[in-house]
Amino acid sequence: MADVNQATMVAVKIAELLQQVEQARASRVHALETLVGSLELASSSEGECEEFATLIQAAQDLLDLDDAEAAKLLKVSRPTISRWTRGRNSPHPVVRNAMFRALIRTAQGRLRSRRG
Amino acid sequence: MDSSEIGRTYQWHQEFAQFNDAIYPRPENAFQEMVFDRQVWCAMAEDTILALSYAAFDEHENQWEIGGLMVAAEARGKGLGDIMMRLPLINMLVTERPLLSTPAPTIVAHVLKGNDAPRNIIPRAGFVFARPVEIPKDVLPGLRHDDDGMIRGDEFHLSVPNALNQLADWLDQWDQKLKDGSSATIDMIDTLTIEDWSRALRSMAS
Repeated sequence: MADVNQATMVAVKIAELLQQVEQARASRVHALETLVGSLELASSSEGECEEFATLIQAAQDLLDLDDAEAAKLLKVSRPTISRWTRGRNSPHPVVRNAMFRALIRTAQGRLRSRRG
Repeated sequence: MDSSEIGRTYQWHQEFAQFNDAIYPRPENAFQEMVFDRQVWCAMAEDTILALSYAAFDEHENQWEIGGLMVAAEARGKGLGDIMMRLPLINMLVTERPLLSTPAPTIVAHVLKGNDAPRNIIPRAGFVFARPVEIPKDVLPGLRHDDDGMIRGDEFHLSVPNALNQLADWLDQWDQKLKDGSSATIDMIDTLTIEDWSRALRSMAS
């Protein structure tokens, strides 16, 4: 009897876990979609982007990129990424928008794989 | 230069500096850190390193340095020195816009006294002579020094805004070939072009 209860409890826990995993996955998909939308909007402007540091940091978080990986993706130096996210400086808008397009493409790739 | 090439790049640097006391032989850890940080630029033909240079920021001095220019003997005469001086400089200018910082950092290049090889290249990249420099040999061991133990050289500063247009002019006329006609491809993100670089430089100059 005790074994049946134990097995039932494990099954319930796993069901809860699977539900949480599905919710986290859906939340992640939604966040990536929001990231893509934000980057698309920001890259449509040729002026300064006040939210540049925030967008780069958000992209790193959602795409699981540390500074070295982000630097490799965007073909800049690791300290450049660090200075960007600390708000120390930012690229020229022409270059910035190219960076955003590269991040959009990466995010869209992640969305495709998450949606299966 | 990708961090996966750390070992090979350091070895190339060491071997080059070993026969050229005008090049500072950086300690292994320091050089590898620069490569890991993607501050080192490299010209390669297939799998062979032909030239190196770097762009690095010294936060303490508030100074960008474009330096470490090395071109393999067998690769000279193709214009690689000019390219390897300009590309890290241009990339730094458009990705970090140091000229907008307050205070703006100085952007420098250093050349050892008696080292004539880079002295035509540096002005073509937009630098002008700023001042002579001298430092004790112990600060940069391995670099050529005078009998009094002092290393002597010249410091060049980027001439702003003239250099920005000068660099843009070069990008506009460069056919992405070396002097021997072989093609030269810059490893940039494919959403960016050298025309974008030129536009950014001219915008920054105006």
